[in-house]
Parts: sequence; structure tokens; C-alpha cells
Amino acid sequence: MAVVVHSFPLLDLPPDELRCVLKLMGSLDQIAFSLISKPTKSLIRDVPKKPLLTVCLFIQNYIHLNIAFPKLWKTASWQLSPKYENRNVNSVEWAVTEQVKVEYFDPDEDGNGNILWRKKGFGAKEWLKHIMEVTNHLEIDVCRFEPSGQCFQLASIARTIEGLNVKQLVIDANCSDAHFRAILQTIYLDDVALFRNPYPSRELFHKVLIQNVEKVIYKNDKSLTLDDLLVMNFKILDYKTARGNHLTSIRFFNKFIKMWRTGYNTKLKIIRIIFDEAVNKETVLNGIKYSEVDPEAEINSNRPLCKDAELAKSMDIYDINGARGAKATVYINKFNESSGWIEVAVWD
Amino acid sequence: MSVENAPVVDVDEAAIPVEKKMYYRFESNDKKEFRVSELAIQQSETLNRLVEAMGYTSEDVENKPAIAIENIDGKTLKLVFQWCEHHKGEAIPVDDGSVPKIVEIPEFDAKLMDIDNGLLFKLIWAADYLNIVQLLNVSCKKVANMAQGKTPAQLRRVYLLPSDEEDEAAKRAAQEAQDPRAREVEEEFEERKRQGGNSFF
Repeated sequence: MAVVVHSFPLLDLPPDELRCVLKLMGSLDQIAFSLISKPTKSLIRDVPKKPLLTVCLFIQNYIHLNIAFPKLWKTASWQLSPKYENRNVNSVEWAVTEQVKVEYFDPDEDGNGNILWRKKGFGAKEWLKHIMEVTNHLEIDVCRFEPSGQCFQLASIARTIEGLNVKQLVIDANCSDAHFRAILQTIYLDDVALFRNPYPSRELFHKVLIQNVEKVIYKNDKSLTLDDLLVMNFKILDYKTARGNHLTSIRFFNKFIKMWRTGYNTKLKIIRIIFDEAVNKETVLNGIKYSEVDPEAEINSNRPLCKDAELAKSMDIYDINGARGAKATVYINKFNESSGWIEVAVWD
Repeated sequence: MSVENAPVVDVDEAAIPVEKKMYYRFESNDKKEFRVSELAIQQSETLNRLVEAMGYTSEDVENKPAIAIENIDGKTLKLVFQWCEHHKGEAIPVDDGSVPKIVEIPEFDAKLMDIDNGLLFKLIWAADYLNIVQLLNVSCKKVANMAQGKTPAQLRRVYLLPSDEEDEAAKRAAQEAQDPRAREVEEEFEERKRQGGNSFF
């Protein structure tokens, strides 16, 4: 009677076929394979892959890392802490065990399910690093704090993500003021998305605004003022509002540009604001000397903010001068007669 | 083995153009003989080049000895030729480097590869040796599918993979085996130490 062999000596395959097998594995199976040993990790790192869509770290009543694969709707989530209910604020240190629960969803192949993975000697940081390395996605796109995550000690989260390339900090608008402020004071990232002012006064808020961050996305708070813009120390400000949230007027933005031309806020490189009122050059550039830019020339120049020719053609583009030889381009894009966005890009 | 007794793989006669109806004879390393259509042979780049270089006529293939394939046994070669006959005339896929690589296993191939892993391993080596691109694709996909939904620990068992600790132990053992004189010196040193010698030299 023939003996049925259940195992397969994968590493004894010819090199090309070994690579072929690894290429044909599912994305999640590749990550599981990479955890076996150093050589398997190295093999998986070398397998060509489509870039992941997003990698996000969520701080809720448990901490989990979510990956969106390039295939539509395919996701995986690593639960990197137990789930906590009714815990005191700042009472739980983030200390992960060697075992994590992986939840996956693939509409075509595996459906959805979960599986427990274990890796000896791994803590939260090692899990994060390993997943980033083997997927060749060397950054965590977003670290998002939600109200239910206030049980976690922020210092332990800061320690864990320190040294990892975490791009953007997002704080849910529903986080309590105290939680919100504690996050801003503990987690320092270059790119921050704010949904409101958690401080009782504008002065305190300004203290946060002058932190040395690179980019701020500021959403849905209609109280941004000229003072806020002038004290800011960001390179990039992306200011968005939900429709119906009437914002600061374009006249105030015109004042801001005039102040910038006299030497205020020299660090700012890009400011993008959506307005719920008609945008036009007469108001935006009122009293400012400008020269009109041909959209074609903008696309072909070495400083195009917008590579999309169609979009560029739909915009009005103007060059202006600033203090000490600085130059900037003002992009005006009308959505319709009552809304649009304005972007100012400063060039070195 | 005589030609009369040679296992013949199923041939779809209608699919073979009349003028190309020539069957080559191949012999495995355990002396099993196979008759394979010229069109089926085209799936294998290696065999196709070989028969082209030989330039056999219809008489030659009957009268000359079967072409020996020394690296592959009869059981494996039978699977290979069954696959080639079934897929004869099909275009040979070109790997365009697209990512992810997508390979579907047709029903016939799935049944053909419903074999133990030892034989599957030999089949991949044979497909590699004979350079049969699509057979390689489907057999590698079959091996890749073994990983589906497994934990790292399960994968280690499925694919017989050593852990880092086992790897290091194996390396140490290999080093020691490579340098027996070093081991002798070490043993001698230990012996002298036991005897109370002050100096090794």
C-alpha cells in the first residue's frame, strides 16, 4: 500500500519554482509564511507584490492594525491587544502577547474568518515592523484614536510606535477634550488631522498649532481665523469643511495672502481651503499684483501641483510674489457658483 | 519494454492535423516507454528542441530506440505526457511579470494532480526539467494552495520548514562535520585539561 505524504519539501524545489509558489500564495498566507523563520521572511520580502492600499492602526477598546489589499474589499486585521470594557482612562498599558488574532475578509476566495497566529518573542512593535517589512509598505498611513481607546496609556502607545514610520495622526471628533489634548501632547507626528479645537481658549489651541508638524488636515470646524493661520507653523494645511458649514470668508483669505507677502508664516508651503461661497480672482487677489499662468505651461513646468491636465484646464492659475524673493502660485477651482477651493503653493 | 506493451496516453485524434500525426517514443529511467504525439511534445520546450534537432522521420521513430529521459521515472513521466496530450495545441503562456500572478487550475489538471505530495514534488521537478511552462504554473499553484488559511506553525509542518533555532543547529553540525581536525583538537584539549596539563602546546 502506498504511503500518502502530507508534507511538501518546499525548499527543495528549484529556485524559480519556489519563487513561483510564493508568488501564487494569497497575500495573508505570504505574511503567515514570512513568520516561520528569517529565511522565509527574506523570501517573502523578495516576492514582487502590488502595493497595499492602506495600513491603519486603530486605537479603540482594543488596538488593531488594518490592511486594505489592492484587491477590492480584501482586508486583514491584526488584533494587537485584548478587548477592554469599562476600564479607567489611561489605565491599560499596551503590552501584546506573542499570540494575535487575525481577522480577514476576501469576497472571492476565503470569505471571512479569523485565525490565531503566534510568534515567539514578538511584542506589538515587532508585529508592526514585521508586517510593514514583508508587505514592502514601510509606513503606517494612519494612527487613529477613537473615544473607546481612552483606556490605553498613551505613553505605551508612543513608545511602541516610536521609530516606526507613522504618517498621520487622526483624532476622532468625539474623543473627550481631555483625551484629545492628551493625545496631542503625547503622540508627535508630522501629519495631523484635527476635527475640532479641544482647548477652552484659542491661545491654547495656538500652542498646538505652532507645534513643529509638517502637515495639518483641519476638518469641519468653521472657527479657523486669520490669527490661527498666521501663528501656524505647518508646511501644509488642508482645510476641509462639510457642505453647509459656512467658513471663514474669502476676504479673510485675501488678507492672509497679503500678510504672507509681507513675510509672515514663511514655513508654509501649501495651503488648501474649501469655501462654501463663490470663489473668484477678484476677491482672492484683490489688491495683489499677479500674473496669469497658462494651464498648459503649468502642466509642463517642473512645479506642477496638478499633473491632471483636465483639472488644470478647469482652474485659474496665477503667480504672485512674496517677501524676500519668495514666489507662490494661486490655484482657483470653482466647483459651482457657490463653492470652490483655493490653493496656494509656495515655491523655493 | 517492447513498443507493443508501452503505455499509450489518451490521444484526441481529431485534434491532430493529419500531416503531423507522428508519435515519438520516450523511455523513463525505469525503462517504461511512452508514445507521445508531436503536437503534445510542443508543450515541452526541452523535448520540442530535442526532437527538432534529431530530425526523425516516421520510420525513424518506429525503428530507432526510444529517446531516453534519464532524470524522470515512469510514474511521473506518465503524468507529464497525459498533461501534454490533454493540453496539446494550446498556446504556451508567457510570464509577463504581472503581479499578482493569477493561475486557475482546470478540472482536468486538478484531477491529474490529485496525487500524494511526493509525486507532486517529482512532477514539478519533471516539468522544470522539460520546461513545460503551464504545467509548472498549475503545479506551483497547487503547492501554493496548501498554505491557504494556515497559521505559521501549520505552514512549518506542511512545508517541512526548519525554525531559526533548527537552522542554526544544522549549520553548527555542518561546520563540525566539515572540519573533523578542529573537533579532534578540541577533544585533545579537553582531555589534557582533565589530566591537569598547564599548556596545550
